[in-house]
Amino acid sequence: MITISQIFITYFRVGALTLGGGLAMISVLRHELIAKRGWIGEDDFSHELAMATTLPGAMVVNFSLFSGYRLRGVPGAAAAFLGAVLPSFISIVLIAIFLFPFFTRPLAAAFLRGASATVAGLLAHTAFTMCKPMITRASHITAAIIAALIAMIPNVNPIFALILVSAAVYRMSANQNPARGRNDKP
Amino acid sequence: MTLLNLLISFLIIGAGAFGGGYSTITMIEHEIVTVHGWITSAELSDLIAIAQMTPGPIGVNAATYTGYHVAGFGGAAVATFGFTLPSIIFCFTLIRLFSRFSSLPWIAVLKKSVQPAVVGLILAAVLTYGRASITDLYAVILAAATFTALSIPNKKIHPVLLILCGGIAGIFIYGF
Repeated sequence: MITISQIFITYFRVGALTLGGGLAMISVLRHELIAKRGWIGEDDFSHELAMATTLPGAMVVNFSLFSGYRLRGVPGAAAAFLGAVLPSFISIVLIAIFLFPFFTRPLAAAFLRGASATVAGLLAHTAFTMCKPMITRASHITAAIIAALIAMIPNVNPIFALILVSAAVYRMSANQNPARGRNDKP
Repeated sequence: MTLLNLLISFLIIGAGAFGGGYSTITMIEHEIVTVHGWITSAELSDLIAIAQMTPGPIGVNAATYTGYHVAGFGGAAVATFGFTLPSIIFCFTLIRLFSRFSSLPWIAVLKKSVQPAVVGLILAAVLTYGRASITDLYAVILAAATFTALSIPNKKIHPVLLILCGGIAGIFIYGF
């Protein structure tokens, strides 16, 4: 039985320790939730991440709500959400009050530069391992690359890539299963 | 009055920021710098640097920092609340919709259909991040070493440990 405080502590630790933004947090949560604790399966993780990416707002905030809800319902979602958000809030307020000059030191910038390069490797690894099971057909690989290209055009909201490519893939899937497409669409 | 405006602005930012932290920053630039003039462009680049140097999601960091800058602790709380409230509303709406309609087969097809696009968005985010953070040969080596270390089968190295090592390596490479 996973307790509410276990959920809160797990997400809080990941939130407090992970440099490199939301996607880096997703990589670390993947390690914590799947490999280390076995709380969530590979499939559910991908599914929840897909939903979290589809919605607006911080991806890892959405993800904490979905995965927390899966673990322990509404209290689980609340614990995961607070665990993911509070470390950011606390550390930013503390920095704003006390530590601002620290960040202008060259050594801090050097630390960050090395850490960012490491995070780039971490993100590439996560994207690689996570995307493998999500994509099973050649047409899906093409769709993913097209979505990435559209999303990388400056000043274009990534939601266009999401809607456009999802609709195309949905059309293709419906065509490939004509019986399902005809009978079950509302 | 400032707090109410701050709340409304961050509700708009939270509801409109699709596709991760960098689109949040674009939204903040529009709402906070262009529309309200609460912070200047120079302060915005400070904000981005601090949001990246602090653990946690960049969007939440940016919201808290802007709120604190505009109206102190209360502002930080209001901005963070406003930024995350749309997430809470949207996520629970989606959970309810899916649990009500989960028996319909087209929902399953829809869930599967979103996946390639999601992979694409993640890929785009990784490439954008990589382009900004991999600036020289040392960075390439650090990134490649991290990828390799994580790929060792049967050996689960904690990613946070690697980030820390990367930072220490960064001090030796760039610090002196």
